[in-house]
Amino acid sequence: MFVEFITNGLIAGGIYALAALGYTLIYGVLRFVNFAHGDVMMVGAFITYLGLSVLQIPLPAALLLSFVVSGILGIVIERCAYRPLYRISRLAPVISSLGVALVLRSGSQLIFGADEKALRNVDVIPATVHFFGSDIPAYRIWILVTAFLLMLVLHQWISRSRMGRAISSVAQSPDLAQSVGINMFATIAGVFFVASGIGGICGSLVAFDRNMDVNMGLMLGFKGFTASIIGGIGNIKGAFLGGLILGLCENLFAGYISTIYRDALTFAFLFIFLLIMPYGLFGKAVREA
Amino acid sequence: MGFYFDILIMFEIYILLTLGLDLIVGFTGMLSIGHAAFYAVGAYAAALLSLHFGFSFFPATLVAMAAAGLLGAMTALPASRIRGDFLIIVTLGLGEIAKAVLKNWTGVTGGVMGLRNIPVMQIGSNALISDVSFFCVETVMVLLAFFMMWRIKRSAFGEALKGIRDDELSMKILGYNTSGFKIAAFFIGSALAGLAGSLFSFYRGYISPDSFGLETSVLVFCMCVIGGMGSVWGSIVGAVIFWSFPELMRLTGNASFDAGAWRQLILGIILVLVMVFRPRGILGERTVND
Repeated sequence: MFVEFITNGLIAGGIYALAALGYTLIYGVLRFVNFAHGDVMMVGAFITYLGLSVLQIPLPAALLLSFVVSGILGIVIERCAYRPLYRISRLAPVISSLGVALVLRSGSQLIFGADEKALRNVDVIPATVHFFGSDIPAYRIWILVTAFLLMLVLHQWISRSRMGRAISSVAQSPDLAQSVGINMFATIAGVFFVASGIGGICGSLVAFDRNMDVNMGLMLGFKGFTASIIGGIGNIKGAFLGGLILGLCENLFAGYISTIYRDALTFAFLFIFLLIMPYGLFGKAVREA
Repeated sequence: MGFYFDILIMFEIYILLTLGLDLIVGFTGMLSIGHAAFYAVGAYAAALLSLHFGFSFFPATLVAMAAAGLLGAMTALPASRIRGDFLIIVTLGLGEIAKAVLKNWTGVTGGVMGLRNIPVMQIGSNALISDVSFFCVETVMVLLAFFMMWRIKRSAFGEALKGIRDDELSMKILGYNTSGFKIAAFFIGSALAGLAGSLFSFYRGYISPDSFGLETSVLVFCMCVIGGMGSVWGSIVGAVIFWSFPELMRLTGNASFDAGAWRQLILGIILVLVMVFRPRGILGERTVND
C-alpha cells in the first residue's frame, strides 16, 4: 500500500510541479499571478484531445502540438490582455487574467460542450508494471516519466540557455537586465510561451490520468498555485519541490486519513503558508514593485 | 407583469451584493471572489431562523447580516496580512469551502436539495404575498444601503479605505490601523451580502447551494469592477448591464442557446477590454496613480 501511495504521490507531484512552474515563471518576471493559467492548461488538454481524435496523430505528436498551440495562446494572451496594463496598476493585469480565464472556459464550453471526455485509449489500461509488490498501470509510469523528463529539461534550459539566463536576470532585476541589453518584452513573451506550453502538456497528462472537462482548470490551477506558494513563488526549484511535497502529502493523507478531505488539505496548506511563510520554503522576500 | 418584477427583484439583490463588494474591492482594493459565501451565509441564516425558530423578516435579517458580517471579518483577519493578488485565491478557497459545507452538512442545510417552504415576508400582520409589495420593501432597503455607501464615500472612513487601496504603506506611516479598516470594510461589505441573502430566501421561498457558487461570486466581482471601482453609481451600472443581459437573451426566446456560457464569454471579454481601456471601470474615479 505504502509504495502505491508514494507512486501516486510522485505522479500527482510531477503534475503539480509542472503546473506550479507556469505560475512561478510568470510571477518571477512580472510579479503577478496569472489566473488564466489553469484554463490555459485545460485548453492544452483539449488540443491533445483534438490531435488524437480528429487529426488521428500519434500521442507524442499530439503532445507536441498541444505544447506549441498552448504556448502561442500564452503569447497572444500576454500581448492582448496583459501588456497594455503593466504600467497602470499592479492589480489591473490580475483582474484582466480573471477575464481571460472566463473567456477560455466559456469559449471551450461553447466549442467542446460541458460533458466529460476521456483522453486515454481504453486498451492501454490492462498493461501493468510490477513495482515493489504493487501493480501500477503502465500509462501512469509514462506520465511520471514524462513529467520528470520535462522538469529536467526545463531546469537545464533555464540554467544553461541564453534565453533561460535572460529570464533569470529579468526576474532578479528588470531595470538592470534592460540596461545590459536584454530585450524585456521578448523575454516576457518567451516566458509565456514556455510556461503556457508546459501548462498545455501538464493539462494533457492530467486528462490522460483521469478524465477531462472544461472546468478541470480550476482545481488544477489551484493545486499548481498552492505548490508554487509552498516552494516560494518565483523560485523554479521551489516549484519542483513544492509540487512533489504537495503531491506526496496529499496522497499519503488520502491513503491513511481521509479521501474526502484531500482538497481541504490543499486549502489548509495554502492558508498556513500564506500566513506564516508567505515566501514559501525556498523563496526569499521579493520586492513589491 | 410578474416576470418583470421578478427581474427587478433579483436585480436589486445583485445591486446590494455589488454595493457590498465595492466597499471591499473598489474602496479598499482587496480583490475578493468569494462574495457568494457571505450571500449564502445570509440566505441560510435567515431561512433557518424563520423555519425553525419562527423569526419574522426583520429580526432574521439582522441576525443574517451579523452572521455574514462576522464571517467577513474573520476572512479579513488573514486578508490584512496577505498580498493583494494572493487574496483572490484565499477568497476563492473560502467560496469553494462554503459551497462544500452547504452540500455536505445535510442535517442543517438540506444538502443539495436545499431548504424549502421558507415563510413569506411579514411586516406586522401583513404577509407580503405579491411581488410588487416585496419589491417596494426591497427598494427601501436598497435605498438605505445606497445612502449608507454614499455617506461612507464622503466620510473620513471612506477616504481612509481609499488611501489603503492606493498606498497602504503611507497610510501605516500616517498612523492608520490599516488592518482594522480592512476588517471593518469586510464586515460592512459582507453584512450587505447577508441582507441580500436574507431577501433572496424570503423572496424565493427555497434555497439550494446552486445559487451560491463561483459563478455568482465572479458575476458580482465583474459587475463591481466593470461598473467602476470605488464608485457607488458604477456598482448600479454594472448590475444593470449584467443582470439585464441574460434576461434580454431569454426574452428573445431562443431556448437552444447556452446562455450561461455566452454570458461568461461576454463578461470575460468586457472585463479585459475595460481593464485595457478604462482600468478603473466605466464610472470609476481617477486616482493619483492614473
